[in-house]
This record gives sequence, C-alpha cells and structure tokens, in this order.
Amino acid sequence: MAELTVRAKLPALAAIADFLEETLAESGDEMVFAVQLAVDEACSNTILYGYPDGEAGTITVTCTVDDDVVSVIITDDGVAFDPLSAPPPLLDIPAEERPIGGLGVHFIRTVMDSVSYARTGDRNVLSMEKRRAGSS
Amino acid sequence: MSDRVEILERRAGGVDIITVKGRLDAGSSERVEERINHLLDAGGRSLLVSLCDLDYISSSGLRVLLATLKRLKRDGGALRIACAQPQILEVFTMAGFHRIFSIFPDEAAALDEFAAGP
Repeated sequence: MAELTVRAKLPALAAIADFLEETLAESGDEMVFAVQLAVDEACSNTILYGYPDGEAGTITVTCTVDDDVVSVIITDDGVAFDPLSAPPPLLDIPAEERPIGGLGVHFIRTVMDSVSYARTGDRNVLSMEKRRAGSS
Repeated sequence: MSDRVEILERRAGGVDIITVKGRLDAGSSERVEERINHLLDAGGRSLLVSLCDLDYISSSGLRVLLATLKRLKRDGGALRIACAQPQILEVFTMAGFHRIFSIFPDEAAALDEFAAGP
C-alpha cells in the first residue's frame, strides 16, 4: 500500500498524478490513465468545493495494487459531500444547450469498476476499484 | 511542482493557434481560459487549439473548451481542435465531446479546414 497526504490546494493535483504513476508503474498505461483521471476528478471537486470557508484541509490518497485489482481510497476533511449523488450529465444534446459541469463524476464512474462513498467521522471517504487486465 | 502547463500562441493565415502542452487540469484551466478569452476579446474568430503535445486533460479542461465553443458559435466564429493522443481523445469520447467538436489529427489538417471555410 502506498499513501500520500497533501494540502487541499490545486497545485497538489500534479503531485497526486506523479504519486499514482509511480505506484502503478507495473500496472500498465491504461490503468495509470484511468486511476489518474478518476482521482484527479475527485480531488479537484474536493479542492474547489470542499472548503467553502477558505481554509484548505488535507487529502489523503492510498493506493493498493493486488494481483487482480487496484484499490484507491481518497479521504478529505472537507464539507460532507457524496459525489455519487450528482445526476448523470446529458451527453447527447447540442453544445449550445449543455450545462457546464457534471462530467467529473461521470468520468469516475466510467473508468473505474466500482465506486462508493461514506462519511466517517469528519472525513469524506471515497473508495474505488478497478480490475487489472487479464483478471476476471 | 505546481504548474505543468505551457501555453503558446501564434497566428497562421488569419487563424489564431493556441498550443497547450502538459497538464490541462483544474489547476491550469483558468490560465488557459484567460489566454483564449484574451484572443477572442481582441476579435479572434478562427481559433485552432492544438492539443498534440498535451499529456493530460480533465473535465476542467473540457469545460474551458466547451465555453470557448459556445462563445465562438454565438459570435459566428469557428473552433477546431488538433489532437491525435489516444488518451486525450478517449476523454473527449467519454464526455460525448467527439460529436460536438471538430477534431483533426494534426494542425495542418485543421488549418486546411479553416481555409476551406467556416
């Protein structure tokens, strides 16, 4: 298991991407791409909307690579927010009519095999898994 | 390291070309949006955004491109995108954006299309 804790500020996103690339180096480009995207979207939401009073807290990302699955748990001490409660975006309407937003959670659901949310104490806990290629 | 985006501007045959390299994420999308809006404020109506050397794009990056597309359509302009990176194109496809953006495999092909008309 590898773990990274960062201040919930936008520059941390690149550091999180580096951490995942290193942790998943043996898991293939497609796995790195998927997990980086899902974690980036989740952490972007937390950083942009999780601390409305202005004082940024911390985000901790843990990543575990097992034989058949990669598991990621993201926790933060921002306001309680279940990203999975967001409605799915409307993907088939013309550009001019599209609301801007709602895509991040759609990406998380698309690239990962399972996603779940819990509020534990004063932290949001988002757990995600993706099966590794070749495993069933 | 806090900033992993590089934004380059040039003009060719009446087309403004913005090249975005590196990471287009929530941390850099505002800067990219400012540069694009600056060009459009100056009257630019033909915009090519080159993502040929982009390593990563998130929904924040797509939002900037969508806002740009909406603005140019409203103002009678045109936005074209050059990109051949499979993972960047996959993000466009996941969002359904491959259907609403004009995406070309390289800058030359996109510029040819500007020459052919709006």
